[in-house]
Amino acid sequence: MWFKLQYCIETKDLVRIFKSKDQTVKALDNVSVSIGEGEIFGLLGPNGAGKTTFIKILTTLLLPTSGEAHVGGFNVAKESNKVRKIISLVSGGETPGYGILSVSENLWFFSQLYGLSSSTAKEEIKRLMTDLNFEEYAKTRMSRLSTGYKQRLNLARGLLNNPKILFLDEPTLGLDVLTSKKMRGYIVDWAKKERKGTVLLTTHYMAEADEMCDRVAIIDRGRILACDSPLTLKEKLKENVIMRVEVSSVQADFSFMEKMTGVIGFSQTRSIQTDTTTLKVMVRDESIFSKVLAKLEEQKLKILSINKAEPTLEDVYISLVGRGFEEEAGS
Amino acid sequence: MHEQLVHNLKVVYARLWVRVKGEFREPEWIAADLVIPLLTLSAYVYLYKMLNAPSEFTGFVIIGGTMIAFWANVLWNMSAQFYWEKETGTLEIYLVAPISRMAILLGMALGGIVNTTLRAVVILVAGTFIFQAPLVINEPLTALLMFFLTITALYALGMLFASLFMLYGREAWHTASLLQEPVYFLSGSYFPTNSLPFFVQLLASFIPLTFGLDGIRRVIVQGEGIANIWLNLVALVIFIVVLFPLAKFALNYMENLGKKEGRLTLRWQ
Amino acid sequence: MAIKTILKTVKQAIWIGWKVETNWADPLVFAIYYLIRPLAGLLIVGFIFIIGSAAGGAFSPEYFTFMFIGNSFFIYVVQIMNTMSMLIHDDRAHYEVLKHIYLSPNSWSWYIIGRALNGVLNASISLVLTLGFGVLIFQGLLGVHIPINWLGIDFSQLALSLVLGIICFIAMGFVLCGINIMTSKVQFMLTEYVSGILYLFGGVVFMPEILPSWGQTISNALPITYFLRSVRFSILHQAASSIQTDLLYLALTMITTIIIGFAVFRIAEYKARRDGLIDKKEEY
Repeated sequence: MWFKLQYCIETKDLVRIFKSKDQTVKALDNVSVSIGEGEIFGLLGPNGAGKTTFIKILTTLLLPTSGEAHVGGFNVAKESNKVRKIISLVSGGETPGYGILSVSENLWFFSQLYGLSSSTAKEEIKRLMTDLNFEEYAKTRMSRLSTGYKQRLNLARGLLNNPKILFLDEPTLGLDVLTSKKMRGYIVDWAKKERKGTVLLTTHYMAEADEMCDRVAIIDRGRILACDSPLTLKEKLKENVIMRVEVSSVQADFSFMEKMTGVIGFSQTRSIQTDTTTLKVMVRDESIFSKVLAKLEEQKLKILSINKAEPTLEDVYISLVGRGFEEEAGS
Repeated sequence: MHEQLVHNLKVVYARLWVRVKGEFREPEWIAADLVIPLLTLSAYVYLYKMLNAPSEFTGFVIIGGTMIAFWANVLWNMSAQFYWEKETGTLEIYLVAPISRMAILLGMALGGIVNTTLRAVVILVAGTFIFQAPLVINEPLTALLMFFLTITALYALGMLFASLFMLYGREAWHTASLLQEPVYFLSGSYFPTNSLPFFVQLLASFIPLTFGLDGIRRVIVQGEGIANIWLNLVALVIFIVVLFPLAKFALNYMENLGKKEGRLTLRWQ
Repeated sequence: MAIKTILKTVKQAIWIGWKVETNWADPLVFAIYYLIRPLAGLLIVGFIFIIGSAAGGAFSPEYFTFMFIGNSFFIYVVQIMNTMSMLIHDDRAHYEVLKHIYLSPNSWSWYIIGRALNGVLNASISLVLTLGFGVLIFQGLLGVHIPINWLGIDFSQLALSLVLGIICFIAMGFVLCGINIMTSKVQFMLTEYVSGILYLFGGVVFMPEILPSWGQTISNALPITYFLRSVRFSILHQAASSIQTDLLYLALTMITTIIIGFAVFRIAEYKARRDGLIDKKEEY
């Protein structure tokens, strides 16, 4: 039975702790999130932030240590089977089926896991393969597909049961730019026009979250730092100044900026091919930025270019955490 | 309830279909399964012949070899299935779907029965014609009943082991390996168990295969009837009645434990 | 390729093989595994012997010892075949590292030899445990006389037999590796099947003389036959044939299996590269 709920997905003070012999890790730290019906909700954060842990709890693969989570009005811990009837999970980079079976055979098999009749399954499989543009691979063995087509198969598998809530865990991981774009477009169409379903998407690609999501929650080390529409999140940064500076070195140390008053945060992207580093610095006002430039010149670094940047979701992350996603990966 | 049953039967059929389809995609196993199962059995048959043992011992070996093919099917196609799915990355897809775990296991085991049955038939036929095993089937229905109950009890035991495999990685894999030769020995796959010391026989009585093998041998090799093997039938029914609910409980328990400890879909552990 | 690099590759392969095999949470379970399976195999054959002899009318301690030694040392065949057969599945489908190992500049063959040597190490552990517990159970508990003078074993003879035999089995293992590179369907059955052939025709638990003539011909072509004869001679100091002849035949069959193993493996490697099988993953 499906009835109008206030929220399609709701978590309250969700905590998940992993214990091993060597260490204890708090993967989720009092996460409270509410997602409405028909919403495309993004969970954005670096690797190890807790995104997959969160999605595993909501898809009944993991129990929370404490707190509550409801999907479609059902408690994920106590009413797992009811949750499973209305959801689907598509994980990027995962094996979407059996290598020895063809694409259509794999899809037929998975349709049976959701109790579809063979005739309905055949129609749905044909439609999905046409919509996702890989009908010519129907009889190809899955082991022979490229990564892009495997992921299309994965997505088709996830949509077979026409879920009310679709969970996407890094769905474009490992895909090329064009395939990723097509996939994102398809998911938005599915959610907004075709099915009017709810989507919870985890990603560490900011452009993806920006492009697809009605709202985005930024997560870091298990905690939600901010949650709002991408536009609103970026608007909040307008009072700050974001400058992009390219310098002629990949070895310089920029940690002095961490101690500078008025520097909210910064990120760095090093390019070994061009031997340059692109810094993105967020400051309270332009006078502080001139002090940053002076410090860079003291290190005898050649400034190749300076320009003002529009705030992005990464800047939102930097303003909250003080560092970019790249630093997170190294720490 | 009816809808759920039909749904789960579809799952059984679908998993069975995948298994059978996959097997016939690479049919190299067919030639191997027609000849090779006889090899170890032949060694034991020749050993009995060298010792001048009566011909009924040849029958013991042949029946034992036939039945352990089914035990191997249970062990590797059913018990190890969740471990297998986890390692190939498809377990998550099953666990998120609204289906019975036992349906998946049953489908896989039934799918494996195609090559298991072929193997068993080859052993039985070759054993009879090449080694002149003295097989006498006075009560074929009794033999079939015995066989059916043995397989059912083994499947229930297999589901119970599958719950361990769901959570544990290589430990469970090696535990399954450990359940081959020791079970063959304890259940008397190649010799009558009444020759074993009492405490060993007691241990063997916890294995459904022991009662199944003994019963089938007595019917097919020694020509006994249902009146003589009723105790074996009762024992197998008890196994079935106890093991199936235990397996369901264990599967639920281990799944929840895996979800609590975060190890359910963790590979390479 | 420099000797130093080869030795390093082999050493690393032994190490990784050991790590893969000993990936246990409980060392006790690991220890039991190395004892229980081979011991159960020995018990099966031992009880067939005891019960069969009782039913047939006469028990021969010499025959029992023949079987006891044969079955125990057969562990090398099983363990090496199993390690080399499952190696492709483990590295390709399970851990998905095969392509990385293959692409490394060190020879893949030396890596496989290293993994096989780990199998030899495991087999040696199992052998010692099985012999010890086997004697304890059969002689100690069941009162079966096993006429072996353990202190009188010719260890140099035994070592030579083991070295020649193990090289043969590793060469045969390369054939299994090659087959498993080309198809994944028989990978789980291959060890059982090859071991079955060697078990039946190799004079492991009964004298090959009781086989039909065609069976004896097969037996005379297998390295395992001469391996077990020379092992039995080094332990019991008695044999139906000349030990020098057996060792010569063992050496000749060793050379033959090396040639065959090498050829099959190279053909399989070529086919794997041609057909894209190095990282093929087809499980169902």
